[in-house]
Amino acid sequence: MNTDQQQLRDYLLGRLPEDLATELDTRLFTSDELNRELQNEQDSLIEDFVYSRLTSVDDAAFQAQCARSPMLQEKVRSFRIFLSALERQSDSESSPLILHYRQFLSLLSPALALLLCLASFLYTRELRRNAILNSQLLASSRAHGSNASSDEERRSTVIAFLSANVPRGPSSAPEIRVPVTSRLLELQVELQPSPSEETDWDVEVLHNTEVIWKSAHVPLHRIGPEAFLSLLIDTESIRTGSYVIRYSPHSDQGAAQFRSFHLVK
Amino acid sequence: MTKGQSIPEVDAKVSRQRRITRESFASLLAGLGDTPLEGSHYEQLRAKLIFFFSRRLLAFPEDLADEVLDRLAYRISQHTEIASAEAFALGIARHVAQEQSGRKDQAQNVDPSFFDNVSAPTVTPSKEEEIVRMEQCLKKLPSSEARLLRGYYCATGNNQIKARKSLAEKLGLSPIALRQRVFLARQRLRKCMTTAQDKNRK
Repeated sequence: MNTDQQQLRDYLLGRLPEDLATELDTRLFTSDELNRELQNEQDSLIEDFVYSRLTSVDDAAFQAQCARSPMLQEKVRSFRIFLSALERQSDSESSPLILHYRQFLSLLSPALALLLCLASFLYTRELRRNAILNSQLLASSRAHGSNASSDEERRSTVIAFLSANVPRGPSSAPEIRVPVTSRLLELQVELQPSPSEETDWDVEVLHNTEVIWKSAHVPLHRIGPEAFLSLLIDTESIRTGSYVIRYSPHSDQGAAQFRSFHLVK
Repeated sequence: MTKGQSIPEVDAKVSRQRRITRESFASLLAGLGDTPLEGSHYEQLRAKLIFFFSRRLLAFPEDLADEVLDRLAYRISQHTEIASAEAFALGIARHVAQEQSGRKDQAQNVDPSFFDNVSAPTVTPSKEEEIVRMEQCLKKLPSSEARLLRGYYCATGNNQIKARKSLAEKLGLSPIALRQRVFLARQRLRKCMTTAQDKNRK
């Protein structure tokens, strides 16, 4: 500590000889510079007090000053608060990796949550749509088929719905399991986009290159917004293996579409 | 009046309450060259007066400073010819200090328990709230100043001396200039805290 600083500290603690103190009083009221220096020195004094760096004499003098001045008490309290805040801040900044990770997560979490919500919504909607379609199909087949077949016949029919919403490559064709007791396989081939015209369709079911089922007048069925072709195939005419359905509107045979499936008996 | 105040100090407060008016306060600010919204010269003069009374080891230097300011305001509002408001304030302060020394003996005869039933005002925010507010103010500082404060205060013991020395070297400053920079950063922080407290009160 240089002499000036020591003199300022003595002034603050009230132990500067009166003649020197009076001189400083006069300087204080004629210059703002000394006021700043005193405030600066008071900050150091408070810091030394808080860190217990004062000598016992200085410590006692400072405590007596505090007892007389609520403002000085407040300054000491405020310095302690300042140190606590500074400590917390440096704690959070001491591990920048964690901070960056937290920032990254805070940005990523809402995006992930949104994505999860969207996926759940689409999945639920698709499940619900399929459930409604199946129940409608069942109701429809019961209503229309009652005159032609008995309950036993209905039980021996296998219905397979080939959805157009599930994109599949040739290696991941859907598998249809047909029990040995089944006599009829009803293949429902969903069309998408739903055709606007009520035309018949040419349909062939191919096993390798062999046509095992063919019809030039397959009608279009509609249930709600869904449109599909229904192929009734005798299970005795087919065996385990991969099949391709080729279908095109009767009026425009050039626009053929294909759908494959794997059958297991 | 707060617990532990002496009779002369209470007298001083009463006399202040009797004398200060909105008009005289406005005259004081104008005399010091302040605008009513700013008041920085007023605050500076008050700080000087507090140092003046503190070094004389007088109790409640803040109240005595206010007493001087009230008397000064009164004089200015009465159109007393004053060449320098600060020099005039020093004269009043010397006078008030003398009054206090003269009344010390009388005050010592008062039973201190006389004031025991008067509770001190305790409308202060919790420590946690203040730390949070201080953290917010630290974040508002320019990053270079926040770094400076952390570098200056966050080392302890002997490490602190070394850390401050190396900080000064790194910034190309003398130790005194470094202290000055830290002081200015803390002044900015104090201003921010005062503004935040004022907002909170509203």
